[in-house]
Amino acid sequence: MTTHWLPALVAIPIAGGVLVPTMSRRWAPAWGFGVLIATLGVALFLTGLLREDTVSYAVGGWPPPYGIELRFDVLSTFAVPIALVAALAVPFATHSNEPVTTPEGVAVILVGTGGMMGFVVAADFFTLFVFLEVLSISAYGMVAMSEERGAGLAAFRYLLMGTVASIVILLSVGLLYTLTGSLNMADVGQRLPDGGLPLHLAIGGLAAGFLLKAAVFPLHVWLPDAHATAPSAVSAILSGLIVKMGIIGLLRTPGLEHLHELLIWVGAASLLAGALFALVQDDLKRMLAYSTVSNIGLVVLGLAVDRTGATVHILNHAIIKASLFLAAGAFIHRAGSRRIEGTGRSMPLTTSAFAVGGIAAIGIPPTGGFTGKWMIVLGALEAGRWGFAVMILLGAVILALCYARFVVVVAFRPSPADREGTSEAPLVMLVPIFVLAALSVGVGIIGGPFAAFVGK
Amino acid sequence: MTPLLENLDYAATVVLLLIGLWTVLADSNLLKKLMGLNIMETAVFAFIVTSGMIEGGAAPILGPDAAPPFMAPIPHALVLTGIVVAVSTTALALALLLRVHREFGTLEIDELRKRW
Repeated sequence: MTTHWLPALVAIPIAGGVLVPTMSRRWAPAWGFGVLIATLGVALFLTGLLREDTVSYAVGGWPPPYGIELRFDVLSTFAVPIALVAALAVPFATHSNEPVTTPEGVAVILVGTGGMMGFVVAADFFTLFVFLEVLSISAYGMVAMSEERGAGLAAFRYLLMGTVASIVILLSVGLLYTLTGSLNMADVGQRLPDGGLPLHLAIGGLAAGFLLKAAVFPLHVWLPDAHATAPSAVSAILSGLIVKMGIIGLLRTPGLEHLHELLIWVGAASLLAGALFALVQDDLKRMLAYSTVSNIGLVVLGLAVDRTGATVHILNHAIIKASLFLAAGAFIHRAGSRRIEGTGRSMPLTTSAFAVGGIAAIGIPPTGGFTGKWMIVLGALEAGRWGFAVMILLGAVILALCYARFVVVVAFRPSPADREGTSEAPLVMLVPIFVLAALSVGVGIIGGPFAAFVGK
Repeated sequence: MTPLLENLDYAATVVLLLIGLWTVLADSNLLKKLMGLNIMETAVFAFIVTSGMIEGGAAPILGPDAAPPFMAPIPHALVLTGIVVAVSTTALALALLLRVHREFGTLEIDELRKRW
């Protein structure tokens, strides 16, 4: 099946983003929100088509494997959370003091969204690389939007690590091309040689590059600074969406079964290390950033034992982590600084949404975080690796401590004496937080059918 | 030794890549790290371009009658796109370095750690 709505999914946000800098400051956020909602509509329409068949589009009319192919398959359904989170981040940011909703800021968010859309629908490796760079460069720019001292340095370190990853990925794509004479993913998969050093270099290089982009321990060092210094609306995009692109890249890597043993150990290390680092953080956004490292570890482990479970979990975690970062942003906005003790007392709605997000991030049923985690635990047990199943549960216990601690800090500690009485977050902040928190529970309630749809 | 000599061009790109990677990891100046990144990028481009040159290869459309040597066109197209990406990354990185220098007054890692 083919439809012109598939290239439109990529073209709408990028074209919309390029136009924003010509607009006035007043209209930029509204335009950005409108463009992203339109993109969300296209993504939902394409996901609906997926119930019958995958959608394929030959760019310029050149048929694959010779031309550039775009393909909307189960992994591409990630387009829906991408459009949703980006769309909700824009109105959220209009109320904060950070310069996110200036025309330039909105342009970066829109182009980054377009890059992510291109990344999830790319069906050949070079297109994948190009869109990876579009979304990565936007991500570096998003971190640099923060006016906090040191944000430029955090963005530069992110750029350095991200570009090393991109170079390794490009080298591996070149190796795959010399090995198979093709760039189309399906075609490369068929022509892949059985073994040999060049093949292992190519697959290993792709995996290393994508693991670095996904911030797996010990390649995570750039993430806490970048995610914690960025404006909160941007942290939601970075932590919810952009690190997941590394996982989608891994899921697209051919011959990944050669690396399952490595992935399961790296994933377990990241799962536990991320949770332990999260436990010792005093800053809420840093804790959330390390919790992302832990969840990415879970997903990488899951890639080796249950791919469907891993896919389900990245879809759910995108929504959950975005809701948590937005709630953290609301606390910080009302507190006026990073010292958020006691802000929750006067913000019961935000606090309850944060608690719901925390429960979902730990993976307690019936939330969305449970479905994928449960599938991965079952997959580990089925593969006879019960030690890893225990590690996943242990990681969840540590994360539960982290979230419980911050709920206590926010809701029960007295606020510092020098702060005036705070009030509930404004509606433009509350509505995005509640939409995401409701979804992170709702997707869990329909967890069975949802997993069946993803597994198809 | 023979496989290495036969693939001297590939070996050279690997050496260049490692020089770049070493600069990125070990140099204490942020600007030099960025230059290391550019060296790495150049190494990968050189690798992809040289992979398009196969001795005794035939041209796909012109057929066996056309006079060699030939270069495969796809690697060239890839590298052209790659260069565009590398230039944009470098431009953004330089802009970020300007900001770092304005905020901290230095680009040396050791100094930055003290002034953070």
